[in-house]
Amino acid sequence: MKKSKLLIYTATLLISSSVACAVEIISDLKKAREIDHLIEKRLLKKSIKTPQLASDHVFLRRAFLTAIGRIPTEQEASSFSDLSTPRSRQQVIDYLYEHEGYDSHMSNWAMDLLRLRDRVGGNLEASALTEWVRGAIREDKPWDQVAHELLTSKGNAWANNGASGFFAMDPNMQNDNLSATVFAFLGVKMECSQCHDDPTQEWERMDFYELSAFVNGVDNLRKNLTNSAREMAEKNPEKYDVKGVGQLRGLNQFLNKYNRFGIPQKKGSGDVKLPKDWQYEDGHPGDKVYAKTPFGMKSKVQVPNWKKLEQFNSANYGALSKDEVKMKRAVIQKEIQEQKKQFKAVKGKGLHLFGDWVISDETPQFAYTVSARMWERVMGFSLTDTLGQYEEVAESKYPLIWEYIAQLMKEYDYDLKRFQKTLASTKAFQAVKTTCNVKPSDEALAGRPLARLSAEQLWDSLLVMVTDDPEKLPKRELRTSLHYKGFDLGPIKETMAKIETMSQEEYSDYVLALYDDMVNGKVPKVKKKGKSKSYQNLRRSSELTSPISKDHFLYTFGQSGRSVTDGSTREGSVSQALLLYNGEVQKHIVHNKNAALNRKLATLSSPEEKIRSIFQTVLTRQPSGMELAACLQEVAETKSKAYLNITSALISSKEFLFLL
Amino acid sequence: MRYNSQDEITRRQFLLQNAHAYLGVSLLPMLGGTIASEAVAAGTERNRKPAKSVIFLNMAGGMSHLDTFDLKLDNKEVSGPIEGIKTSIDGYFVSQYLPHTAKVMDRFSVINSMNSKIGAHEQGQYLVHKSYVPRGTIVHPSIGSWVSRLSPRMNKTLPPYIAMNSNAKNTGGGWMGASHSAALIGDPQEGFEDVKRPKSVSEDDFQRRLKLADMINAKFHRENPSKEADSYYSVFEEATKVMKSEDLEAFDLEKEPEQLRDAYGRSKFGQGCLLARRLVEADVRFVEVTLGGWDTHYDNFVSVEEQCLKLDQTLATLITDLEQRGLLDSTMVVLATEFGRTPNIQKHNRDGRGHHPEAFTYLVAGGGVKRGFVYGSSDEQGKKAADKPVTIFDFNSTIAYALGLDHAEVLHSPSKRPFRMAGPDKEGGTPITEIFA
Repeated sequence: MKKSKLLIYTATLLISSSVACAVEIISDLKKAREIDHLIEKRLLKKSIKTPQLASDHVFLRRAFLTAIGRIPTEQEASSFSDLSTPRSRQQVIDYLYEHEGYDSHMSNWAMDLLRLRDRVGGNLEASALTEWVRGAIREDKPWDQVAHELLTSKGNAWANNGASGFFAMDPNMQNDNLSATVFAFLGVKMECSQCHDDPTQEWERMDFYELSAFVNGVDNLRKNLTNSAREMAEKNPEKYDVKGVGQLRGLNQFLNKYNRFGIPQKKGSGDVKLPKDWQYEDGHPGDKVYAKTPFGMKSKVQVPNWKKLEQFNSANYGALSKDEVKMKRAVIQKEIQEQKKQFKAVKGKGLHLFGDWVISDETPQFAYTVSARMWERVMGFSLTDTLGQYEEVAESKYPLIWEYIAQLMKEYDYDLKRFQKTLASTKAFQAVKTTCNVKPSDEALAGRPLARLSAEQLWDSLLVMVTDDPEKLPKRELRTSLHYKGFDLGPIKETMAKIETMSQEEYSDYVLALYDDMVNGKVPKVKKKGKSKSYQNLRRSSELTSPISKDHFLYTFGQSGRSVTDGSTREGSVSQALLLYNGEVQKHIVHNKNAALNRKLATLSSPEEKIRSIFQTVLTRQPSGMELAACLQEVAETKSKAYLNITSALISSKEFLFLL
Repeated sequence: MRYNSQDEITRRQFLLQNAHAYLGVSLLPMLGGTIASEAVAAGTERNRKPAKSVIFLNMAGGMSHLDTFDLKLDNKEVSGPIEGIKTSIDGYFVSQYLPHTAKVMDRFSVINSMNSKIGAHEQGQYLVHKSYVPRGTIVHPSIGSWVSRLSPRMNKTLPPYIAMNSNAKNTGGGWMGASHSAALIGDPQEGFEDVKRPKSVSEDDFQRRLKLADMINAKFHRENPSKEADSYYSVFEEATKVMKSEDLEAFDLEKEPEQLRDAYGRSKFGQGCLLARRLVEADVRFVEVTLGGWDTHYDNFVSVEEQCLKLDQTLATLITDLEQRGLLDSTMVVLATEFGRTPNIQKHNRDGRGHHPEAFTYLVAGGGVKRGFVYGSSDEQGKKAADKPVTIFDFNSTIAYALGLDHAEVLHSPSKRPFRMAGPDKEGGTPITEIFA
């Protein structure tokens, strides 16, 4: 292609893509207006005044905290100083949904929803899965695709793509895992029916077991030393230490921490045996039942109906001719052949059937659940009585709005970022609470309810006072090498891929040989002291250990332990107040000369400038006349200490702790 | 909910109809007293001083009843390698891993007929703490919050409800608000973390900070009145009270003799129990200490032995110490867990045991309960609560009873829903009065 032609071609591409982009932007704004229209219509019907729009600083703070999970830096706030026009406010939204902080804030959401922990039951190393999900968020992978890959990937999560760790998170608790999965993606609570018919919902225990058949299969991957390897080790105690196989077993256990984090190819058998304590008449302990979906898209694994043929053969057809009987038999045989074919096609493919079911258009819960979750995230209140729980839409509080946004979610092909951006572009997002008398059922529509910041929003906002750019703080890194007792056993991915293909015997030989090499100095030592395994230092909350340790700020302020879906809490405690008054917040921010806020103050000369800078950084606004006067008085009385006192007071104020 | 089965009348429909009918009926008794509350009224009239405080030892993860306090020594298939040792209760044996506790068993009432329907940790722990199963529509207050709300405060500056190594969600005040949530202590040796001003902050500075914050808050409140924000912020006022408390030295374990600190054990749980004793001495109503790690799916017998090592000497020391100080009558010590473990030993999990809510054990001492008393029993395999089954609703009602509170008293949430310390009316939680002397 000639150079000039290439230029024209590129220009055409650019124009066409930017035209497409502009069309998309206009269309999305139109959608935002339609959502506003639905809300206004509802308010009008209930004779409620449409709420006014938030002031500039309230809008800015709300937009930052909602989209990227932290308050703006002083510099960011100053670059959006004029927010008086709808266009200028839209520019903030456009900026934030392309900001790196969005990925961080969404990662926290996904870690809460999907219960992503660095270590899971049985001490398995599980961060390969967390990193896969975080990667999917960075790529803005459509949510249905994320769900499908998590639900259908097999093999070792460290050797493959990480998604296959999803079903390996709860060793020996596969039923719990299934209940949590159904709730996370479909908003349906089935955990009661794991053990008994659920009298408060419509699920029978059989429903649960039929569903579990889709994902049934051997538990987590596992490789063990063969008996002969152990015996051999026991016979050589001088080589394998005084405890016989102790060291060998230790090495085996270490490898299994990684090797067990994944699921075998057999997973998803499509059938399951009823448990020993089956208490109902529709089955007996040990009966095999086949997979069947309890709601939404119909999908099942059906065994060929052999009985039908047996019944036909044993019946008396005296009135029919031989040919007629033959014909009828042929029809049944064909039917069974067809069933056999179908059975063969789906047998062992339970995970795919399950994944298809979850994200199917015929399973409406999927779109409704994720759209309601995104709504709550952006708009600050839930469309349902219970966050994340699917309800019959027609009977829900705001059926028209829910219906609309669920359709929009599908229209956007489950692009969560685009969806959230559209919601944040509504006027309703900018609304302030109306003070008129509104019934509780419509209260939320008449202005956003006040809510305490989440633990993560608080932590990430405090970082703004510590560092100039919180996004530049260190990030999590996926572990790549197997470090065991000071030895570098090699790259995790390759080693796990190798182990995955081994038989038990080959694995035993491998461990024995590896142990020999370690003893004989053939395995390299870890060169540098590895980076700290935990991430407790100053980083964005999404880059820290999951779950956080119990002595951390995030724990005190209610971060989820990530063992259940939506496990976080915003309840208050005395410890929270003490932490702000006297704890690390004082050490790392208020009294830290190197904290960004204090460095900035050092560059300012007049007390007023300093006071304004503190207010702008902590509360994203300028002080009122009265506040300024009180703070200047403080400076007159306590000199330089005043700035510490003002900063500390602002950080422990309701205005900082709550989102308007 | 859409359902793709075209079955005719199914059990689900039958159940649903019954549930609706049941829920409708069950609302009525909540409006007034119940038979249970009458029983309590009668019980509290007797000559017994109510207990003042509770030390709630939370064995998180599901403590195996079969390998600790409810041994099935005649059934090797169930007991596995566990051996029994004699205790100070005639003819009663506990696991060989509990030699110290064995010596003080005569101070306890043992309830071997605990049972529940919840076999999952989170929900089970929630139930143990709150007498309700988690619902999506409300967050329930914990038992400590109920005690904090229903009992007059004895110490005016220390929080009435303190929890160590516990989960914030299970020890929260729920709809009662943050003022009835537990004050959480991470490491008992560190005491009440952050309770002291940093050295660089003078009292004058601290007061100035509070005053400035008040100014900002007043403006915020004027512009955005919110009961939820006020309720949340009440913990800040509580915190300033705690900071000034003269009883803060209750948190200073250095005041205890080294020998006693060693006897409690230097673990977080050990020192937590010592701190619990100091706190009830300082008139704190409800103290929880959690010992996790009881989820013995793998290597059950090795794991239980390790767990017992952490529990045994501490528990025995706590009981003896309380007794020697004359605190055992006024303090109810409870050893609780969310469920037991399966009688069958799972070979495929290296001799593990699974979750088993149908039968498990609680211990209770002090606060007026009988000494050396065994209440109820599980069946021969430890599979089901056989004689005098006790639910978690019953047990939490028993805590209320011990403290002279009405377990069936109905309080309404801000959303006007009725709740009781005994849990839902339909569960019929009733105090086990038989265990009281």
